[in-house]
Amino acid sequence: MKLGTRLIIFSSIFLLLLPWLAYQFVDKVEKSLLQAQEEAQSMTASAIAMVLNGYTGLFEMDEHALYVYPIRQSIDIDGYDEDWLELEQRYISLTTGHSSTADQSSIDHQQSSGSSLLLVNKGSYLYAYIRVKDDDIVYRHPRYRYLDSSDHVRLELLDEDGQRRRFILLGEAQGQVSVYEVEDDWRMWKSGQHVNAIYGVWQETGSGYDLELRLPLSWLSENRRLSFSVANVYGENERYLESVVSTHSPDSSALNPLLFQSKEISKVIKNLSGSDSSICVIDKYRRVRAVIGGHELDTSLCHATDRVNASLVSTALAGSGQVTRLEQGGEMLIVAAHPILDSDEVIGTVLVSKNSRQILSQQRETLRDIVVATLILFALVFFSLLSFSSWLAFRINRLKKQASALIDDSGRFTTDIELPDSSNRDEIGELSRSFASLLEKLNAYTRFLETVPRMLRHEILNPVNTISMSLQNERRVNNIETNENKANQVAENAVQQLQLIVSSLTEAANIDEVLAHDEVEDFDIAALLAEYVSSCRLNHPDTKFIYSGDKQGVHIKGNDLRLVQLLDKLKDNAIDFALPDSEVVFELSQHEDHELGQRDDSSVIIRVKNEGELIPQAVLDNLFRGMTSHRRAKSDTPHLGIGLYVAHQIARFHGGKLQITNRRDKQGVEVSLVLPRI
Amino acid sequence: MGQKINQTFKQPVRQVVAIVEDDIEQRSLYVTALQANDYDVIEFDDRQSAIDSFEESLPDLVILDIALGIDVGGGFEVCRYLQQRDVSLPVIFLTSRGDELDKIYGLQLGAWDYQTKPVSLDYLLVRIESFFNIKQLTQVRAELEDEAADDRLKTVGSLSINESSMQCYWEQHEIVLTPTEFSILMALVDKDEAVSIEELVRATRQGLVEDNTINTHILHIRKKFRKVDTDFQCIKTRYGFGYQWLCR
Repeated sequence: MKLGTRLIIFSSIFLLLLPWLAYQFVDKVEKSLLQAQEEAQSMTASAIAMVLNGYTGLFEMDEHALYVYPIRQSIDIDGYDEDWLELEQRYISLTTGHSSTADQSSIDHQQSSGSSLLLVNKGSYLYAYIRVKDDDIVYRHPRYRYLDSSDHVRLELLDEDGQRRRFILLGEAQGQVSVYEVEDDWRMWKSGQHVNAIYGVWQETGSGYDLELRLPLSWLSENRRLSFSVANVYGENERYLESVVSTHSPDSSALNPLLFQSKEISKVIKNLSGSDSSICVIDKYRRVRAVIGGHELDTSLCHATDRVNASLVSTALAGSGQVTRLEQGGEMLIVAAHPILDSDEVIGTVLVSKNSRQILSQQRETLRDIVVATLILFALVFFSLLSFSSWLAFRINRLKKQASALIDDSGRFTTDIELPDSSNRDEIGELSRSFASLLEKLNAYTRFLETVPRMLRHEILNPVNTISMSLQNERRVNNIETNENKANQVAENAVQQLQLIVSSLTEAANIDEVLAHDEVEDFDIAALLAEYVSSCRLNHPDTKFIYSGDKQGVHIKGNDLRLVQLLDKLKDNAIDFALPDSEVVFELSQHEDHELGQRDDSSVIIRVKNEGELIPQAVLDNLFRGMTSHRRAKSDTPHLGIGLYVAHQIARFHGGKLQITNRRDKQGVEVSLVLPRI
Repeated sequence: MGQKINQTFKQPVRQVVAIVEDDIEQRSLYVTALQANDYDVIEFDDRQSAIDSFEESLPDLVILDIALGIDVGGGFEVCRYLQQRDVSLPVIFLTSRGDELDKIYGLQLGAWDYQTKPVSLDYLLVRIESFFNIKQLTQVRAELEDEAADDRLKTVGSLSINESSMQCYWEQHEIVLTPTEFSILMALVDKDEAVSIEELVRATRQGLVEDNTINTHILHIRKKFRKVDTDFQCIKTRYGFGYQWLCR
């Protein structure tokens, strides 16, 4: 894995922790804010409850009071309940005559088994919706004189003058009902005049009938008392009153007081309301007595206390405050409840609800800011690290390339040692300086090794020259022929051999340097080889030279004279080691890949074959190292193996490869030179 | 040291050979051999003493070692000095420095021969004798040529050569060659067929010259021709044998 990639991965892991940590922090802050909000709401609820403690009179109400709900939309009197649906759960049973919302299941039971009533107030009218269960609806018939000889609804009220008045609502069919003011016995009308101020519509339902009606609030006395009763009649020819169910208890003829949301309570708590919180005041019968502020959702929550916060209200009505969080429509509400006390008796509860939207939106904004900041930071760090690591990698690569470029394939220094970043104070600068120092030492050693042959030559050749000339002078002074003095001749031969050794060593030591100065050009190796072999035949008439291959048209890139020098070495070797009267074969062919059996057009191969002594397989690989010779040549000259070393260097200079193998037919040795073709 | 060490005066007809060599033993061996062959010998062990003496009078031939003690290129400097004094003075380098670059440099300075140690005294004496002969012949010829210089102008194809003035022209452009290069070129154009390396070596009047030295001289000659004619292809390499002048 690359340095930069590692750095980025490691830093990314740590960077990714940032948003997580931020989330944890924001979560804690949110919890803390919500807790603070809960406490604040709890205190608000407590404060309102304390204030309302002083207004205990406002809660004093008959338990049989009929609660009149406020309603937003207008009501169309048509006998259908589509305008009343939002208060579907608020019907009270006429069986007992008073609301008993504490037991929800009992309401449902009574509704299903008897008649129920719902009262609302809109503007200057009081609206009532009465559902009656009746399997056999009996309408009024003119044959019967008494008004109570058909199914009907009774309305009793105290008028503005405090007089108790009775009205009967009945129908001859579905549709608008007839309303008459009647005597105490509900049988006879008082005036026979239809009461137009009370307007109602009768509609049959699957299980009985519904009656929707309205009456002006101005008809009611100041303390607003009324009661509804439903009378069921049966009989075909003779009609009998079967039952009467009423809003007031059967054993009492007292009318039910009407209970509206308290304007007085609203006035008291209005100033305590926060702008975005809603306050509900609920009496001990769970009737909402006041609603202040808040949004639509909160208002409906107040109205639906029994359904949504039943346990909360129950707890508060039991005497202890509580704060709870409610999920409503994807939003969270914090609702605090606190009981309102009169002495030790709980007379109601205050609900303060607030939407946590603000807190949550703050949290979301904070989180968003953190995420954006993290992303920007991440991008910045990523690009910084990327740039930094790229820069580091670039510097390291540059150092590597320049350090590698200083030394050629043979380990010689090609240029002066100048490495990048050597003046830099960081680790790479230090590395560069260490490299430079190491290379300097290596260079010094290499230069020493390179100068050794020259120094050696100079130091050896001068005494050798002295010996040689002394021998020659001695011979000349004594005027003797060379072959007459065996000792003198042996000494002179030794001197010549020393000269050859030194000369070979110098050539080998200098070959790379000399090659580096050679010019390279395209030339025809086939033509060169053909001509070279012809020249060999002239120069060495005792040896039989064979050439096989193209005579022209095979071009390579290199220095032709150096290749001739190489061929000279191979030719000399071949002649030296060839058996008498044997052939020395020069062969030019396209390179063949023996493993794949395919011809390789990108290179040419020159083979020089001679018949003679084989080379042990074990020493074949060391032949090009120099100073190694494994065959006894027939010539008198010393064999240091330096010729092959020089030939190898020339082959390498041409991008080629020199290889010596024993011939497959085991008759001699084959030298192959593979050269890249143009 | 640093002074003329020995000066031998014999008959006025005897040639004077100067030897500049820092190794006293080798120097004395040269002196012995040369004196035995009837040469007057003056010997020096460093550059300064040699030049001081040459300021007074020039010998007839100079043998130089290149490295003179710590003066590693002293021989070259003496040769340069001598060529400035007298371009026709034969100079022979006898040195242990056998690098090609040294040989080429020495020959380009105008030395007549460049022999590497160990020296064959027989060969050295023969060369010295032949150089004196050449020098003498050249002087005689120069006197004759002054009278009829134009007769010596040789033309081969687009090549014109004035042997006496050692001037060479290719397609009317003068090619400036060193004496060694001129000798090689002459050897090439004198023969219709290919000239072997050995023949070229002989033509340079130099002793133990290796193939590569001749190759380098040919390379320089080609470059000089190609400066005035980029398509110059007249010197053909005969691989394994020598070279041939093609443009006749």
